[in-house]
Amino acid sequence: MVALKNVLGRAAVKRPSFDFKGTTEDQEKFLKTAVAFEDLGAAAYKGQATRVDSPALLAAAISIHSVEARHAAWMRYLAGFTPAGKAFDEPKREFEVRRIVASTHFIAARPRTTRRRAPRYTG
Amino acid sequence: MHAALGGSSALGDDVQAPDLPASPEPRLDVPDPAPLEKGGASTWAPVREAAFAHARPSRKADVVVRLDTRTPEDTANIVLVLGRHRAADGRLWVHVRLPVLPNDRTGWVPRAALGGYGVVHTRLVVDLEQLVATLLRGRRPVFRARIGVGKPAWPTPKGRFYIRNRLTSYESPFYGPLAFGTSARSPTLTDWPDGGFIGIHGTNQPELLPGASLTAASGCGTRTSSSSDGDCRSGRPSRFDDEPALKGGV
Repeated sequence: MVALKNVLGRAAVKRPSFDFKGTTEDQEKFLKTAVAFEDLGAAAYKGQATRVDSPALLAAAISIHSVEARHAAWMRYLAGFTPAGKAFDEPKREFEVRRIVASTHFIAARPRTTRRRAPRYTG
Repeated sequence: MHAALGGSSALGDDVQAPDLPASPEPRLDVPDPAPLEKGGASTWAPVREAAFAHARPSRKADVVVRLDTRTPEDTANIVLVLGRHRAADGRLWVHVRLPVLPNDRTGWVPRAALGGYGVVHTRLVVDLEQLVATLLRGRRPVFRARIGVGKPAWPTPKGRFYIRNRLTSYESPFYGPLAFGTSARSPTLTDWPDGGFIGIHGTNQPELLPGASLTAASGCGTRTSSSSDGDCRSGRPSRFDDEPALKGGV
């Protein structure tokens, strides 16, 4: 993650705030969610592979992609699914990935705990 | 290829499996997984939906308080997470510290009423006897300041609390540029909306503080709407409980 942030510089998105809605606190939900996200991660990296011009960046992205795929297979095995069910993985494009992530509502607004207006009550 | 790697039957027993190269040395030291709580971390969560906090993890248990999504200061209402329990019906409950009287009250709220967890690694220890506040990151002190606390008539409560919000833009410089609202409540001061919440703030009148020659921001026992010379004087030093007074942060 640090390496990616260094590469992206100011283009990196801000650190999001998450609300996993209890899926991280239930083993069955956690496994299913992990399968979905590891599969999605692998597909997302694959979907961008042809858009990377820099050989150095491509090498870095591929090295991460293969690890994502290992994670995906591992999680699928733990959840009782076939680890590698197809001979060819389908890539997913950016808008597809964003739509799927948005549909989970796991990325939540950061709670605002600072009040910047003058308090009504004191001074 | 499969036969060669398998090293036997397809090509005969005389075919040897090739030696695989040794795995490369890892480029990173990956530490063993550790629980988030290690090192004095505290977990908090916003109240996503208004909910009742119960005395036990059951809807049938007594209601301690109704938790709203906003504080009286119109910031997101947060609670300090102390633990979890999955009920027999599968429903997940979260044990939280509550901003209610009597202080140190805790309760159980449905997990579904809370948002995502946040973690802080700092805590503030307020020593009411020595009149010193110490900010710890993990177990390491990173800031220390002389403080004033509530007058004897308005004693600063003891116990474990959490920071609920940050308030800025005070018109009066007496309160300094920033105040922290806590979950602690005063049983004697009630002129703050929803009762006497305890705050920590600076001041432009450090001479009011004990040890005023020291340069430091001040902590103040009680935040109220009383006049500016009221609540931030040094109070009678009180023996503090064995445990830190204020824990957590925002």
